[in-house]
This record gives sequence, structure tokens and C-alpha cells, in this order.
Amino acid sequence: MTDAQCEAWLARCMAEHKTSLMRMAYLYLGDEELAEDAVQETFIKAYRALERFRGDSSEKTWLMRIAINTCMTMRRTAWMRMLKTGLPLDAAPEQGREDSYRDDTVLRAVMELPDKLKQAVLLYYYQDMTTAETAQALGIPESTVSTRLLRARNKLRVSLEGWYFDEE
Amino acid sequence: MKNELKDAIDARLSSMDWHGESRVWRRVRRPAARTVRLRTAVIACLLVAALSATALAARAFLLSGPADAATRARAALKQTYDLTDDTIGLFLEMVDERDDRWTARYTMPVYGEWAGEYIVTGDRKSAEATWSKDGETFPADGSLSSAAWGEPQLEKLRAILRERQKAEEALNASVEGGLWNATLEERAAVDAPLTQLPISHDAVNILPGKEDLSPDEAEAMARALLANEYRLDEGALDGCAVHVAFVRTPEGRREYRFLFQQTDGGWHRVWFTSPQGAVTRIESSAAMRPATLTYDPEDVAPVEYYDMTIEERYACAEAKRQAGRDPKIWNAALPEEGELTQDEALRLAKDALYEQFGVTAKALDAMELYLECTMNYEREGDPVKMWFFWFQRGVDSYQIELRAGDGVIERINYFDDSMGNG
Repeated sequence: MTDAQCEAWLARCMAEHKTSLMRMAYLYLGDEELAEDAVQETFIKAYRALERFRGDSSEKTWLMRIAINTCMTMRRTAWMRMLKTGLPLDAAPEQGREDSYRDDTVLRAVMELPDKLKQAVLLYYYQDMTTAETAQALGIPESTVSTRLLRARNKLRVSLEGWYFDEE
Repeated sequence: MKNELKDAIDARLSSMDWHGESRVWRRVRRPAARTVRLRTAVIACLLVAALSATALAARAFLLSGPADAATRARAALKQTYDLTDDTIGLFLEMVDERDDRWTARYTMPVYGEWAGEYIVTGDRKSAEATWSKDGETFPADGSLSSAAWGEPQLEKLRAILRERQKAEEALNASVEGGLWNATLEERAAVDAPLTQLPISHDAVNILPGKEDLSPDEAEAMARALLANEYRLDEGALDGCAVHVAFVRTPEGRREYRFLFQQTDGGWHRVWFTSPQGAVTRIESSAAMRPATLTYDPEDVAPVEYYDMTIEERYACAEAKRQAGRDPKIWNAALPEEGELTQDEALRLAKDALYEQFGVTAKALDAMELYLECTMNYEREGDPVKMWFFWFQRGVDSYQIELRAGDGVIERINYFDDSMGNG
């Protein structure tokens, strides 16, 4: 691939996936600025590794895997550990935004899931991936994805009780 | 569930998008090899310091050591910029490895404007570090008024964050629930160290001043706002525990934040500016849940519910059903006379799995077991009591569901990596 082709790929890729990656990173990290950094890092890593992308998974699956690894790395930093000393009344995201008045029951329920379950839920339910794609993105067996989804559904069924819930 | 969940999250995050394209382009078009102004200094330092054992170790690190790229990058930052492990820990570390070369980037959220960005590039033989603020000066006393933050400022930042952390730990030890139940004064004391920073990543607790609404005025306003917004009956908020914070937001607003917590887990939240009283956030669990939910003294957290024995789970579900909760959700059951007991059902399940997949009882005993006894409402007619067993170890997973009444197997599955959905 020439540099121009790589850049064309990057431009398309950013236009196509930036929003879903951003929301995904936010849901994972719980901080908008960190999520922005994670998405930037994801695109740069993807661009630099483009020649190694063998096409044995979809582009989106590949990007999601990079994004999740990036988010996981970020969460391990001392900075994130310090950020965890937040105000208890401020558990929800941004204030003063246009959508501040909207219901965030689901958002909270998902963000409160344990990390492993949250990863599976975000990819399968939010990114609309199949279990096979989710497994590829997370680098785990498909059976483990099914297990995590079942556990996550059990938890969400209770946290979202009376709000809405149906199987699948 | 798939669509509802996606729609709900999208609706909540509808204003969230990413606009970092220009930053990505800047980085991907940056020349691969950057000029390293301190390279000579690094080499000179290494040569001089090579006389000491410590430096010998460092030299080995850079020239041929087996350490990974991140370790070598950190060593270069320490040598070039006098950073320490502690101050490096304030940065987000991103390492890219490509063939034999690697690049490590160190950025800091929120304070990046002052702390700048460090980039270390290297290969198996060398490591070179640069700083986006190379050439700028910073006072040695750690003053944070400087436009560039070097090691003294980073150490000060770290001390401030640690001081705040310790203050919160002390509060947690003296006030049950910590910040959650703290007074405005206690909250402000915990966050006091943060006021030394030019900006903060989050809202900072402060005390209201003379020009602000008093706490009493603010609480009265909060009650009125919530009652009006959610058409609450008079006195509806009277039994609530009231949690309040007064903060300065990262945008500079002075804001009261109230949370009224009901005894049944319901809550109402309102944030508004002071002294103006402009609402920045208002929400209530009442607007999210059906009004038919009733007070439930046996409430338990979801995690606990799924970690219970079947007897505990049944007792909990029964309490919830008695309280009017949905039995299709709180569907835990116990076997009755004439139905398969847990041991009987488990034996049947193991026999069936051996017959179907050849997995022995011994192998199943070595696996993690999750089990449920529930009323199944997902079919026409009366609900049916079911036993569900789920054995898992590594990539192997067996699931079997059988009727508690007659032991008929309704579902039996084996999952592994290669078989997909089994």
C-alpha cells in the first residue's frame, strides 16, 4: 500500500468509525477526555499496523480490539487510579450538555458491569457484533463470550428491572 | 434487548462525538526520526556515569538489555529529564512497536497544556527522548504558575493529588460513607489541595460564599424544582436522606448538587448554579421506573442475588414477589415434594452430559458449576419449574436445562472455541 492509499484508508476509517469508537471508549473509561485520547491512539495504532492487518476479521472488529486494548492500558495507569477519587454525586457523565436531562438508567447499568462483562456487552449489544466477532475482538473463545453475555444479562435483568427487558 | 440497549445508550450519548482528526493527521505525518537535542548530553552522562554500578546497569539497559520498550523509554526519561517512576506514573503511556523500532508517548489528561508531551523513540541499541516543551524553563521550587511543568512541578502535582487522596481516606475513616455523608465543610476540606491547581479534571468541593445561596435556601429551591419537574406530592421528599455538595465546576460555575435518596432506593437529583439558580441537571428514578413498584425491605444488590444459594435466592425472590415485583424476573423457585431435588437433578444432568458428549462426572466435578431452579414463563400455558446447570472450565462449557417435575431434558449444549454456538 502506498502512503496515499494508507492515508485514504485512515480518512475513511475515521469518518466511518469515530463515533462508535468514541462512545465505546467513553463507556469503558467513563471519562470523555480519556476516551478522546483512546480513540486517537486507536486510529494511529491501526494506521501504523495497517500493513499487518490480514483481513481475517472485519475492519470494525480489528479496530474494536485495538480500542479495547488501548482502553485497558489506560485504565492501568496511575492517572486512572487517581481519577477514581471522584465526587459521589457526580457519578454520571458530563453536566450542562444538551442531553443532561435524558434518562441514563441503561448507561449506568452497563457502566457498572464488571469489566469483562462490560466488554462483551458493549461489543455484542452496542456495536451489534455477533458472538464470533465479539470473540475475535476480545481475543477469547466464543463460548466465553456466550458465558459473559449470559452473566451480563442476568445482572442487567435485575438492574433494569421494571424498566424494560426481554431476552435477546 | 439489543436494540433497546443500543438506542438508550445512543440517546444518552447523542451529543458525544470525536473530533480528533487533526491530531491524528499531525501525528501520522510527523517525520519518523525527530531531532533529539539532548542526545549528546545523554551519551555524555552515560559515559561519565558508567563508572558507577548503577550507571553500568542503566547503560546495559539502553544498549543491549532485554527490558521491554516501555522500561527503556522510562529509563530514558529519567536520565534525560530527571523524571522519576512516580512522576512518570502521572502520564498515560502508549508504546508502539514496529519492526525493531518503538515509540513511547507520554501524555497527561487535563494538565497536558502545562506538562506537555514526552516522546521516546528507540530500537534495541538506543533510546532518545524529547519533550514538547524542550527549551522552556520552569522554576525549581515547583511553582505551578509556570507555563511549563518540569519534574519539580510534576512532583508538586503528585503531592497535591496524594494530599487530596489522604484527606479523603481520613474522612472515610471518620465519617461513615465518606464524602457521601460529609458536610459541605468536610467536603471542601477534602478538596482543598485541588484549589492549588490551575484547573481540575472534575468539580471541586468549595464552600458557598456570601454572594451564594445559603444551604437552606438552596435546599428549599431543590425541593421546589424537583416537585415541579416531577409533579411530586407534597411531602414526597420529606422521608428522603438529603446529600448535598457545593462545587466549582471545571467550567467555572458555582453549583449546588442535591440528591434526595428514598428509603426504597428511589432518588431525585438536581444541580443548579449559585446564586442564579439555573438548573444544569435534573433527573429522578421516578421518571425511569413504573410507579407501581412498591417498597421492598428485602432489596439486595444484583451481584449478591446471583451469588446466593438456591434457598437464599428463593427467599429473596419470594420477598420481591410479595412486594409486587414481576415474578417473571424474580423467578427463583425451590423443588417441592415429588419434584427432582438438586442432587437428583444434578445426577440426571451429569448422566445426560456423559451420554451426549462423553464427559465424565469426575470431569464435570472439576468444573465451575452455576445452577438455578426457576419458574419458566417463556412458553404457552402454565409456567414450568426448571433446573439449569452450567459447568465451565477454560474454553469448555456445558449447559443443560431439565424440567423439575419429570426430568425431561429441554436443552443440552456444549460450547468450545471451535464449535461456536454448540
